[in-house]
Amino acid sequence: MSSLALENYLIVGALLFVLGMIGFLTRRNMIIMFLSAELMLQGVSINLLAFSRFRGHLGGQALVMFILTVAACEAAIALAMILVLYRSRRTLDVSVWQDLREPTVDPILDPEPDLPIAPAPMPKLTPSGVEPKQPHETSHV
Amino acid sequence: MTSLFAQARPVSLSVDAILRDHWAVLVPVLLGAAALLLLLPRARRISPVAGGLLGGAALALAGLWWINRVGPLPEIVLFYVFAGLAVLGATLMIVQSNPVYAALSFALVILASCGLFLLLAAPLLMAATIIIYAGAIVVTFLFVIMLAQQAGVSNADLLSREPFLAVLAGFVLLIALVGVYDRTFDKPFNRDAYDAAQKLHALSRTPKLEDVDFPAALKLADAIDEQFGKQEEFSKNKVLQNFLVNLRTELSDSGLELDESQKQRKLEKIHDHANSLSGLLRLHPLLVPEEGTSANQVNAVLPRENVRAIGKMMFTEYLLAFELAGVLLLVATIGAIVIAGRRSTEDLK
Repeated sequence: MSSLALENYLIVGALLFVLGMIGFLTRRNMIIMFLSAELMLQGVSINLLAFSRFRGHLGGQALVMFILTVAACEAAIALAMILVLYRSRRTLDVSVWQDLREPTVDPILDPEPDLPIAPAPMPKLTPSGVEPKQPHETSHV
Repeated sequence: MTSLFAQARPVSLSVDAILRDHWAVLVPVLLGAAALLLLLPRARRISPVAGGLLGGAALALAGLWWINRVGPLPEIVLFYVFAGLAVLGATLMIVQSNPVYAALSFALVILASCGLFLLLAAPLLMAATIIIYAGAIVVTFLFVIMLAQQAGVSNADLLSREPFLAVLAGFVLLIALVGVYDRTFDKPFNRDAYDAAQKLHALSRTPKLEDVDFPAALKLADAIDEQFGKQEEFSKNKVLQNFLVNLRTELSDSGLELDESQKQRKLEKIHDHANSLSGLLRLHPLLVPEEGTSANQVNAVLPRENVRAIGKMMFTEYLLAFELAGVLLLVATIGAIVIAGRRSTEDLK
């Protein structure tokens, strides 16, 4: 008999769920938002499995099986949609899709200033030509 | 009528009382919130060192808090390693500005939670999750990230939207969840007294006062009283005592001479008192837990042959859901092909 309580697993599940929720709410990259949704599913799965273990009933494991199926479907559809959205706007930022909002709602502009962003460190190569200018993306509508 | 749960433990809303009782929970949670707030990408970069240190301190404190409650066993050590890795990976995933690293951190979360699955006696699901999530989904994600590779960094990855409000909302939810687990979850209780109170409650669930079996009800009240005598902590609890005394006064005469409305009121009183008593007994923790009273510990047995049992279950109890899942997969496959295969008008030109 172990002295690990059901509560431990529930707290880990709750933590994963909360982190996924925060990620979904704050991040603007569609891929990371989707990963955050998967993270929430993972937290729920841990909860279900813990209950299944501590109650001695396999129903929880069967439910997690279905969660896996739905997550796989979700991944396929979401990735297809992300590809289509990327093709039409050339960015993964969800804010550029703000024109899908209700007509009466004001656009959301980020309160943080649109500071010039430090360019990512480029690999040091022998210069063989002119370095192309990096396009600067913005989320403002 | 006083509320049922208000007296389970005296609820003190003063700040210092909450700090005194729950500081061990509050400190790691608040440290974690601060760490996340520092780590989320902003326009003004803050050094990730401070956030990382704060997050590590939060995890270590939370770990110590738990190890204080339980002794070190291999299973427990494994649990903390996997749980810590899962939470660490999840935090890294949402604070990474590079989506490739985020996807890899997600793979770390999956692997760590698969370890937890194994501890929870679910080997089939562990294998399935590794194959489907870490194998298929993460790899597909990496493909999409490569396909949709933006030239250079973008604003979308470097700035997060409303970090303060989101972290606040998330951690309020977390405090609520952990607080509820901490406060009420499956503490050991006196089962004999609780069962008697439940039976009493069931007895009084009749439309008319005349239907209540008074001798049996009195006997049950005596049984509760006997349990109270056995445990010293019960005799100190004034609220419990009051409920029992009131219940016994109501039960002492069968009230046949009363008029209809008074009878109805008496019946309601008995019903309410029995209900409150059983609720309070359920929530009143024992100082010395009796053997096997808590469902919080593993005392349940799962079938030894996991795959076989799940397969049997899938094809009997969950057959319809299983077939529907197959249809769902087919529809999702077709849908993904239709959506992604469509060329946008710009591409055709």
